[in-house]
Amino acid sequence: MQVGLVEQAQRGDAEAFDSLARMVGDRCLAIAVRILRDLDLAEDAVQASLVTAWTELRGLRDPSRFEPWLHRILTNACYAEARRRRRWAEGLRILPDAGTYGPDDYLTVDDRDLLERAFRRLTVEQRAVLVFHHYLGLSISEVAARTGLPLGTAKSRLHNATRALRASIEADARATTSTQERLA
Amino acid sequence: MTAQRDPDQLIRHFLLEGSERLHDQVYDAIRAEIEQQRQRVVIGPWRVPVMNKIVPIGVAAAAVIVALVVGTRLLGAPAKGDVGGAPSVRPSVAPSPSAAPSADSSPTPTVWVGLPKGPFTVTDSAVGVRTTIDIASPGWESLAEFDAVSKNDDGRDAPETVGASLLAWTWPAGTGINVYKDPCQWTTSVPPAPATTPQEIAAAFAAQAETDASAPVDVTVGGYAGKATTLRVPMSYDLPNATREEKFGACDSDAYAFYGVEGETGHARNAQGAGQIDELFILNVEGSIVILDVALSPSTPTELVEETRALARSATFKAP
Repeated sequence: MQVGLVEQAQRGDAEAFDSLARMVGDRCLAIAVRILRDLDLAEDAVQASLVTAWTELRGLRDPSRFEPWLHRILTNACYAEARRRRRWAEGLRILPDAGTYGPDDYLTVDDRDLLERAFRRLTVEQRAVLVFHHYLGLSISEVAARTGLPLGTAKSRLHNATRALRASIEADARATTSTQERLA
Repeated sequence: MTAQRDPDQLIRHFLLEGSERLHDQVYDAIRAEIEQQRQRVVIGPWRVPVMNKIVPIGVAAAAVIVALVVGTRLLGAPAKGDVGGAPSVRPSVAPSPSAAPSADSSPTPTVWVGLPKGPFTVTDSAVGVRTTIDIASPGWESLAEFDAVSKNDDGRDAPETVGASLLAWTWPAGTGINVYKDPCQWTTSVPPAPATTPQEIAAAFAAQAETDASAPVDVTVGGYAGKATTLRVPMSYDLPNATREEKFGACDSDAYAFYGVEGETGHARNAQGAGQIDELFILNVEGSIVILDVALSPSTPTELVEETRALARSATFKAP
């Protein structure tokens, strides 16, 4: 069905593209929110990427690859959104995501807090590889394709992102323990 | 707690939480936008068909013939008395969001994108100096959270970006500016005493490592005197396919910082990429320091460079 809509949209059918956008929009937003950690920025990135997808759609050679192709556009839109907001100076950080969390017994409230803080310390590019790998469950080669990176760079970025995230979580955990010990 | 558990599992669970729905308003906005935008035309087949050896030669020969015919028509071989010659291709003067190349020879109406023509207050602070610039051409956008305006912001950093920006930053009278001796090792190269006048600040930049600051010159903007100098971020920080943080990964906090402000943690102004050029106009506006920063990339077109400089020179100030 999606392929048919892509082909119709490639012939300039705005109605078909609208249906296509509604099929993929929520997933795009989920990816963008996880990369940008901000709902407003994520909506802007999704809107920009879908408009770009429309204008460039005739350049998509394989309609069955619409979503991976769109995700690459979305990744660039996320980078652009993040950079537009934190381009000039330190101290200007992306605002907290006001989204709601679903229940997950694996994570405690402390876990979420630590992970959220650690995730925000990563660069937007590091977050993108983590989201594609862990959220969408993509292989490294697919992550590379969707982020436009050479395979080796994608591997090292994922490795560095995981290492940075882990170090950040551990540092936070140590700081919390130390504070609790001082207060005890 | 988390240290004992598999970090991959934690990350996965963390990322899987939550659900998002894109608001109908966003879909409506997308629909409205795409109905205004034409799809870019792609010329040529999706796949190169399998050809025998004769066909490419024939195609190449046909291409040469077409090029000759088109070239003759475009360049024109004016016959006697032919004052009109071939129809000219008139470039559009109006920026187009779709960026689709246009060879339309019909008159193009001017589309004013971004900030309107006329005065625009970049820095509107109740405590600091109010800086107003004169927008003279289309395409400038406000970056209100940074007290800046930019044009052609393509989301890339120097040296790739073709954009330019003007930052108008101000601090109350008596504020000290810490020009780092080494912008890469900035946390450990804070000067013993901050600079408080345009002369001191410009002199500190002149002594800064790596940025190859030009000799400070006298400047007057909006009736206020000061010093001008230009900083350049070395191209040695340019790494292919690297993020900004990776490019400056050898520097403190992965940042290349020009200066900070006395009493504030962290730096104030950092570079976005290798080869970045910052033309600074450091002014004393009735005791307050104002730094107008014309931020350019080596890829910024000359016309935009001149436009951004003119924007800086158009600044007027109102002290608190």
